[in-house]
Amino acid sequence: MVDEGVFSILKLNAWYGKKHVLKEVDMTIRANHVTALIGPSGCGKSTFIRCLNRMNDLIPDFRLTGEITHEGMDIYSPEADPIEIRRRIGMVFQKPNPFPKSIYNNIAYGLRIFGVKDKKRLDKAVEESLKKAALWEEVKENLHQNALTLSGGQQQRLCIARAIAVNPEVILFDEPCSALDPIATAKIEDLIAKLKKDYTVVIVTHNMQQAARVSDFTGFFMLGDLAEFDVTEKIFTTPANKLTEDYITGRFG
Amino acid sequence: MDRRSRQRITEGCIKGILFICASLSILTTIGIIGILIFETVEFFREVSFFEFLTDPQWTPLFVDKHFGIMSLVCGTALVAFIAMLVAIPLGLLSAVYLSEYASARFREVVKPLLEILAGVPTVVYGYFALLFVTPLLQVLIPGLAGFNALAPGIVMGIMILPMVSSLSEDAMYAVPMDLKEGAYALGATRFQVAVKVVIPAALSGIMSSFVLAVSRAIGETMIVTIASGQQPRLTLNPLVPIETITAYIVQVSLGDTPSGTLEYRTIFAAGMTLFVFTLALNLMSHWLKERFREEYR
Amino acid sequence: MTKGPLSRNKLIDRVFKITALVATVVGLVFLSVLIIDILIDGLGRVSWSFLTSFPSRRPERAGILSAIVGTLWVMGLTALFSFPLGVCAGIYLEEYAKKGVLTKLVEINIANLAGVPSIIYGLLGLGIFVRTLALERSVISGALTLTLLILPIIITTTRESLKAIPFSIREASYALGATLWQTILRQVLPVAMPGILTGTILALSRAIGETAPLIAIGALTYIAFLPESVFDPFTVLPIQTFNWVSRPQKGFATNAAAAIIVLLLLTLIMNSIAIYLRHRFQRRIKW
Ligand SMILES: Nc1ncnc2c1ncn2[C@@H]1O[C@H](COP(=O)(O)OP(=O)(O)O)[C@@H](O)[C@H]1O
Ligand SMILES: [Mg+2]
Repeated sequence: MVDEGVFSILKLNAWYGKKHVLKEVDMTIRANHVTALIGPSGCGKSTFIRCLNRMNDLIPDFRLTGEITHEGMDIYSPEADPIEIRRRIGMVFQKPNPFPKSIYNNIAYGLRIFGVKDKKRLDKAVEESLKKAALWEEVKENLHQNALTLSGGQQQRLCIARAIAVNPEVILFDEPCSALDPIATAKIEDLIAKLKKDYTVVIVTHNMQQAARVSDFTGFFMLGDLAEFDVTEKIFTTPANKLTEDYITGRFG
Repeated sequence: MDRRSRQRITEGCIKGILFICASLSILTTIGIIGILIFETVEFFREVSFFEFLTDPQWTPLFVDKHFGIMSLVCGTALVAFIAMLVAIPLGLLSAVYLSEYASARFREVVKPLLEILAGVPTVVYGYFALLFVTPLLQVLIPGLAGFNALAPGIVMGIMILPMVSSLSEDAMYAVPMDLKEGAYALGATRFQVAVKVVIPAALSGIMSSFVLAVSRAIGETMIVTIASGQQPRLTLNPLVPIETITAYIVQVSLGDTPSGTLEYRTIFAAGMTLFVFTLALNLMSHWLKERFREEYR
Repeated sequence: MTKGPLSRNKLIDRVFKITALVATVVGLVFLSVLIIDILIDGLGRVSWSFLTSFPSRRPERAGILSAIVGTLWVMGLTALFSFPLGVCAGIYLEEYAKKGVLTKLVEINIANLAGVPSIIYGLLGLGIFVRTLALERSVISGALTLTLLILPIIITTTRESLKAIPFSIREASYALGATLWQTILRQVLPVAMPGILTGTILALSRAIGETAPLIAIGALTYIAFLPESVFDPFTVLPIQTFNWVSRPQKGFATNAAAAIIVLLLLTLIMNSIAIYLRHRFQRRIKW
């Protein structure tokens, strides 16, 4: 793999207090591709993905060593600004977490905090991001309805639209479908496949079929180690690591 | 990026303002302690500490001045004692009832109603103690004076009852279910479970609520000012007029005592005494509560 | 076990249950008697002229106008000072302060302040606002004193309301590149506000009944004019009540009861608003 990735991660180690949860992880994440992260629960996938936009800064006793560069900039260097980084690297969480506000205000929020006040611009951004998130047709009549009245799948697509609205370069998904039914899941998967045209996507999933369906590259985590990282097809057909093979054939986890 | 630097400055300023607001609570404490110490030190320049503690009389407003705080402390303790005689048994019993016997519906209705008792302005209780409870008690106890320690003590007991009851109930509620179930499995009645399991297990939490109630009782002002008279007296007789520390402070404040005089300083010396007692009790209550929390972690 | 002790145990349990029930009800009976007594004593005296007259040496001509207006002044200012100060302090402690020894100390300090007798706050107000800052026995001295008195309550409710907001809301906001303050101001605070308001109103309804600290700072018991600025002397309803209770004539006791009815009504209204707010907003937001 060549080093033209948007992210390059070098010797990443992470701890919660004394608990060592990521060990010497190296990875390169390519632009405009979908990278899936799989592995048994508790192996550090969420921790890893949250390192990429410094969400772990919010956890008091979290600590890391190593280097993560995003487009050549070390995102943990003292000059790096977590606020800027999170703006450029968006995130969608496991459980849909819309704000208890209207659909419109949910999406406009990201732009407003960036100083956008122009109503026309906001309207346009709301419409475009809802369209990209394949939610526009369902909600265009009710933009001022409270977002908490939407179904789970709609809420999650709203969260995706909200992330898109601030026009990030990367979108991180942490098990975005684990709280959703199969129909809603299928919709989100379709969406992710389309998103890679405009964005770099990293997705954590515990669902192997999902990883196989949507991703170009797959990383397999095991107890804090990145056991294997390769082109998705290769991982699912001829894994190099015995552990990976055991995992994807369902022998454990 | 320019936008971001401006934003950073704003954020810093806001944090500074919030910090100043938060430090106000520290300043309040410093202010209280500072004022009390300052005036009390001035007070002890003129009155010996020994006299303060041992003189049986407190008559700073008379020509023949005596500065023995003990008669005020005695009055305060007497009323607080009567209040606790009312509040502890009633509070504990109602806590047991609410946590072990009552239905959820009963609790839902009765608890907020009990809370109302704690929200009634104390001047109202003063009125009630003086004009309803005392005359009523005078029918039962012929020797009872119009101002006395008994009526305000009883009324104060009822006032702090919700506090004792709800804090004790919280403590009992926190006792793990498996402890109780163990006893029920052996065929114990609710009474036995309450007395032999729940109360002992929740003891430090319950004690914490008692101590806090005592602190509340000795700091209570208006009930005693209105209904117990203004006669400092070294007595344990609940039937005669007495004066508490708090009532004395009000008595002096009602007159126009110029600042800088000895009379003016007596209220700070009295206030200091009150503050030391309540602080000690509050800390003790806090300590008991922490201990209780640790037992059930 | 034989049948004997078992049924004895049951009997004890029965008796105990009834005793405990009686103990629980005692407080409620007391409350009802108190309210009925005061209504009997004072209801006949509550009238328009009672509400709109100044106090007087003749009980039947006296009224509570200056006390009501004074109460409104003092409470208005107290709300104005205590709400922003308490909310800001609560936000700092909950959202900004590092969880360390210092924060722990501040927490213990606030818990202790909440337990300091109100008369001591009166002495603080007397020493600082009345004398040192030379604000005299004015509306503003009273309001500042009551502000310090209820600040610990408002700080505590603010912190509890903030704590109740799910972390996922904050996470969502940060992930969009919001700053800490933006997140607090635009997402967390609006959701926490009903809880904070409820707590603040309850704190104010406590302040409205406070007598002792205002007497300590020298609020007057007899005032036959209305304050025109925050630097004017004042009286409040509880002080007017106290003044009437302490007089021997029967007519003044009746006035006191009538003033108490008005005071209780005010407290009742504030509490109802608080309860209404709590219910109204609790139901709206489901996670
Ligand atoms: N906030 C936290 N504090 C302490 N330990 C944590 C925290 N979050 C996760 N962990 C621990 O770190 C390990 C990795 O967790 P996580 O990254 O969430 O795994 P995954 O997403 O793969 O299930 C787990 O053992 C988990 O218990
Ligand atoms: Mg996870």
